[in-house]
Amino acid sequence: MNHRNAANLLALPLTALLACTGGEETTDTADTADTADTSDTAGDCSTPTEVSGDIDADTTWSCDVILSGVVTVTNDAVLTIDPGVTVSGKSGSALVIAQGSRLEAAGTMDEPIVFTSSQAAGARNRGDWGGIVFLGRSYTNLMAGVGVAEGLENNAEYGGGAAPEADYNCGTLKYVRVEFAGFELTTDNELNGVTFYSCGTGTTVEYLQVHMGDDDGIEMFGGSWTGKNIVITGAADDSIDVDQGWAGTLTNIFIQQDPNDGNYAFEISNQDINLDASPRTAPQISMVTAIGGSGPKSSGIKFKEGGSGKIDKGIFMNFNGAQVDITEAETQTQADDGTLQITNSIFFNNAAGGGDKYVAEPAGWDIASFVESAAAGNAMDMDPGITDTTWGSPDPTPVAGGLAETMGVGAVQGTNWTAGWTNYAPN
Amino acid sequence: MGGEAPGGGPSEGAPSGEAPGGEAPAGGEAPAGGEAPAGGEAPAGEEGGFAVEDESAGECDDGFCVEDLTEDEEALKKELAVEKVEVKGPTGTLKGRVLDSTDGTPLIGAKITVEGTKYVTKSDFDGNFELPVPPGTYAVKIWYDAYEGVTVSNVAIAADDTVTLNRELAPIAGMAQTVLVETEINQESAAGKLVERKKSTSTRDFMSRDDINRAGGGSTSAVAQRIVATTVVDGRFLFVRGLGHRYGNTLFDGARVPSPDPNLRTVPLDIFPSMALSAINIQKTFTPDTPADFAGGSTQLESREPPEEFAFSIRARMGLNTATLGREGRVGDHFAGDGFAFGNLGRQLGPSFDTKYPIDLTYQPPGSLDRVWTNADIEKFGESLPSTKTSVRPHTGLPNFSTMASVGNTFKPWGTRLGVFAAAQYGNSQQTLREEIRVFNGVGANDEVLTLNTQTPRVDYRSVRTTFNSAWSTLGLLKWKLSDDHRVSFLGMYTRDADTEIRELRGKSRPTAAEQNVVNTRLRYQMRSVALARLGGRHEFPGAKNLRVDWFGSLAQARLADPLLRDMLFIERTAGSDDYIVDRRESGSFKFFNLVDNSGTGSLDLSLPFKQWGQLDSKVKFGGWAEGKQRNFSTRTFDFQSAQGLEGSIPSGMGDILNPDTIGGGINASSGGTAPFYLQEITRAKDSYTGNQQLYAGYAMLDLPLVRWLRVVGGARFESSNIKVRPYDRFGRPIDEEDNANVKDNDVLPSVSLIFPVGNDKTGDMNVRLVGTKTLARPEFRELAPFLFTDFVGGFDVYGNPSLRTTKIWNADLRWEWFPSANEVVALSAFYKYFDGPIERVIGARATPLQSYRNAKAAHNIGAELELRKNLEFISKAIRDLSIGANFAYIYSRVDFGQIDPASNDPFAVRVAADRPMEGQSPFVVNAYLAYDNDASGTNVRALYNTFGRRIAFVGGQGLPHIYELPIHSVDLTLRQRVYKGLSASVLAYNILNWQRRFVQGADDDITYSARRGTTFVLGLQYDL
Repeated sequence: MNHRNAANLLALPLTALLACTGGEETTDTADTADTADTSDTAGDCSTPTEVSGDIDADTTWSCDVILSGVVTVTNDAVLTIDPGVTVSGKSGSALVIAQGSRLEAAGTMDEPIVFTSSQAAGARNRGDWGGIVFLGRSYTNLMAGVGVAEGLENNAEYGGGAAPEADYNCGTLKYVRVEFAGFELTTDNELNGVTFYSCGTGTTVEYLQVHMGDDDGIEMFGGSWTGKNIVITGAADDSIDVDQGWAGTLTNIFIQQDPNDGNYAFEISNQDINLDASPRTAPQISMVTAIGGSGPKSSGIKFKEGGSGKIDKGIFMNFNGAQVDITEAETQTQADDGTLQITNSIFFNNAAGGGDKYVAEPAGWDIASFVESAAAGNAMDMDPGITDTTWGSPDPTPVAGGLAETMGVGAVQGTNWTAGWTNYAPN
Repeated sequence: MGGEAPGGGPSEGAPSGEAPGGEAPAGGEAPAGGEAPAGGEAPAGEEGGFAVEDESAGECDDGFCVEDLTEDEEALKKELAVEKVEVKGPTGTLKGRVLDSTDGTPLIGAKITVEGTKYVTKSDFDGNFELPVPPGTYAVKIWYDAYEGVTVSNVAIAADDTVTLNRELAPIAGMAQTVLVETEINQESAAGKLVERKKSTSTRDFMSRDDINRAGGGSTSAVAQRIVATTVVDGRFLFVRGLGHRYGNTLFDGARVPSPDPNLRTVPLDIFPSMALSAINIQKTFTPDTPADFAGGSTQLESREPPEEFAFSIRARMGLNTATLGREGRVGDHFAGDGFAFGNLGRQLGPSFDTKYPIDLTYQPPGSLDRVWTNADIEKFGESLPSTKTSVRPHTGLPNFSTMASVGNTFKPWGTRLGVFAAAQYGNSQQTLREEIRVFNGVGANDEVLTLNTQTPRVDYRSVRTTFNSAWSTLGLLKWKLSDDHRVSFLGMYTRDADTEIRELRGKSRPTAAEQNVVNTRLRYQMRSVALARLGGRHEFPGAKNLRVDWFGSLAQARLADPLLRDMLFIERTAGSDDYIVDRRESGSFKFFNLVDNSGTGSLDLSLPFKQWGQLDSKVKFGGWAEGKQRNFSTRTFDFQSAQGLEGSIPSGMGDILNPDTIGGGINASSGGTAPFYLQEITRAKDSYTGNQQLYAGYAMLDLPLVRWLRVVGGARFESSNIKVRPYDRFGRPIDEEDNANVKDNDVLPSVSLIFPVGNDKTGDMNVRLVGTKTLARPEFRELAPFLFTDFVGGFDVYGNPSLRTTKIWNADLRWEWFPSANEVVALSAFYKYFDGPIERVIGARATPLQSYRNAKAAHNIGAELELRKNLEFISKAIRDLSIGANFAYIYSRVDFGQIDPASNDPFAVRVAADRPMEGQSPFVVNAYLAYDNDASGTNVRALYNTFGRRIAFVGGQGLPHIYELPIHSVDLTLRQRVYKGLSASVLAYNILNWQRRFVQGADDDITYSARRGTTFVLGLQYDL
């Protein structure tokens, strides 16, 4: 009943707002008028359901679904998506998980759950639909611990206020692909592929790919959770953007920028209003392979606005611009204090566009020595030895005997976990 | 994430838009106010109206008003008794009649003095006077308590001749009412046509015009600058007592004038041709016979009386601004009609854009996965925009020009009097500003006010911004006096103006790029128009105990067209290269806004005079008011996207990069596309809205002198208002119920005044009054609508809040005033205002700046005002033409947001509780002037000074300190000289000190915005026939 091959399905013309006829869909309570129409009786899932409005009762999507407009899971409801289901977003759509609600999307390597564009395969582009937004009740370092999500208006609050729930569970993303997201909801305000606002340690993120998003790949505002085996490809802005005190752990991260587009691989910021807000952003990132592009803004790592954190055992190569930016005095202080570290990593073929390899503002701070000191253990300007860096068909596996293998760095060591469930097609 | 931010920016609301808050109370006049004669037709200082309005309460600047004596025969006789000075030898006679200019009723007991002689008399019950004088040429002064006096110079009287001087006097500035008219220059005498002049009738219409000229104004706003207790903000808006846009209203002959700007409630004064006004009244305390939705002041414009005889005036002016003229500004593309405020027509979307579906290549209708647009459609739309030119070019500033003409006459068909008047004005101006714009972030603990990070500001821009304004207006008046008891009048007005704003910001926007410079450009055109028609009448019924009936009905339409707003952002390829390329993700935004407001007002007032037990003149007044308003605000928003895979083909440079070669249909590279840009509509579902308001009101009030030394004026108004705002989507996409706003109010609004005339013959006139009122401030449609506006890349997102409620305001005023002699006043007042639920701007907790509105719990304003006016004759006769005046106001203001419920988790509740004054409220305001008026030589000189105390321009959010506007010291000088006959010349210099306007933030007053407007010199010529 599950449809791995959504493209075929979506090629079918739909003539009306059709309810999924798949029998596996259930809801706890009767739908209200503005509740997503997802309940139905038996059927074969032959036509995807078009969903709009709020989902205010526990719901399971076993059949393919089409999102129309901003669909918000609210009223403490849990939206469960079965493995193999394709959720296709129309222009202007997004899936928002409001505070108290959860998304449980656990696919498998063979049957990943795919969030993609509702356009025909080959005609898909960045920004075709919005993306996924989680609004949690863990902390944010905004004053008073609450905030308003960007691009959203109603049901846009996040953060646990004075009593944040550190273990808050936004849900599960496992073997999930999010493609062609980043619709511009309001002028110059695109959604990220997946945005985690104040998600706590109860949240599970493993085997997540965000592909061809028109803003950041994933962005975290506050909270803390552990993410493993994440692939970000073709993000038009930053691949991974960390703000407002996020202090989780990311391991096994593969990033590749579109040759023409993209900004930072990692942009790590404490808060852009109060650079010393607490708790301070402090991600622990290790085992990274990040391949840049030749877009005018393409760059490697940026720590800014008081951000701290550690990046260990990474590969940063082929960025058109600088490989490391550390800006604002408060951020540089973090480096001086040892709470900002970039260690045991390989930097290769960066600043390919002819600019500086490093950016430090204020400029007096010696960023090159910081990155290149012996204590940091970084390998500079040495080819890490990656199997394939071709855009559209990458293979981050280290070549045997190469530096990456020798040093034990990069997203993949041993089995190529990125294979089998990911998609690199540009359209 | 873009660039600028809270506070500072180029944003409309702020610096550029000028004075977010209020300019503070300027003047000393009546802070607290008096009873306020309302302005318009009926309520205003009519004779028949409440005595408290035009008389005792009536703001007597020149003297105390004792009008309640009119019905007290004995007292009146005594009052009118004049010691006649017998004339020996040849005798001529000066005679005439003195009337109230607002309604033509006789002024009883007006003083007529032949200056420099002892010949003096007073007008009788019918306003008539007759005074025998020796032959000669005199200056004759006609004056009356609470009215602006007139001095007619060069009155030549021959033996056995009779010279008639009929004059109408206007109520003068006072506690609640300010009138421009001061004195009259006898034009014909100046011309030396003494003999002809003898027979001439009054030229009351010149009074206002004359004073308007003296004040140096061509525009009404420039005139208003002279009014005490007010400040003109941005050269356009009149603020009273430091309370901003929210706390005022504007009435023209009693009819409400809608504001053409959805963000501002105040009507810009410069849309009214000053030649058509007899007075601008500022009512500062509420009386039940006027709309109650104000707290600072109600601006009430009064149309003039048409001239008795044919009269014609024409004026031309040229202005030179030192920040603009000959200096480099910016210009964009030109459209037909730009010079006459019709440029919006060419900028509107063509009919092909009137689509059923959003113009979005990927749009699939509900229930379908079929696209409704082809690539060819999208390309065609992109190329059919009214213009895709985005380049901003240098431009050398030119002088400003304006002209104004008026014509009027009175006809006498069938024994009635039909006065006709028409005026028109037209002007073109330009202003270039060079601005410094910064947005700071800071450091500190989460719960403390942050220390600014000034080393690396988030945004650090230098701007060049040129605004071209074209404006014109026409006005026609018919005033038909059918008999002494019945008058009917018609007023029609249309005014239209447009700003073309070209802005270029250069510098750092760190959220966009840390190293590279960026350039942010904007081309904007905003047309505003107001049409107003009013038909009204006044009827007195002597047979029905002198019942008076006043009525009017009015229709108004306000429009705002803001089409083709174009924003671009360019970024250096590498830092310092000066080689710019468009930032594809934050560029190419094209917006279209359109607003139409239709409103109608109907009003009926009945007043009945009677005598109380002690035979003192009393009055009862009651009436009703109905008002309806309807708004439609619609928007379309488009953004040029870049086709995937063609990012590398985006052209370099800041020219017109959006052109037929680069605009395509969104075919990506892998499908063979070559054009990098394509159009996409991103109109939000709830950006358009309709607004409706119905307002019904009824009132009753009583004017009752209890005893000679205590008069009570009181009553109440009931207002029932229902405001509805409904967002809608032209494409039928669903909208949440919670976005609808409904604000219903039913309020009883009392007003009580106690007046104690405490003066005596020795002290001169003296008065104490105590007033208590309740008034309202209702939320505006825009504040209730979920419409989102982002002023510039990364700037404030401004949303309305559908859950706002109406602010209730309790006002108390105590005033002591003393009139040592005519034209001299000392007044001291104190006021207290309690605001229940004042609407304040609040900043949301979000990384990119977000602003909305909330009702605070309360606010308190406590103030004191002092006013002095003095003629310098007491120093020396030689400087008797000099007069000085000054007023000072101090206001202590605090907003209370109450305890924040931590459980509410309202992201807007954060940090608004800080102890602070209301946004925009200055702690003090000072006005001073020095005037020289020499009627004999036809010379008028005025020097005006204004300053205000540092005030919050933007409340801080997220721990950032508030942004304050620093005081500006401004001096204006106006000089007017009669040249020959009806020809006069004027030289005006505005903003002579050219003080820098600065907004600062943080402990060290770091500058977030600065600009100098430059000094403007205006040369004018006027000819009056």
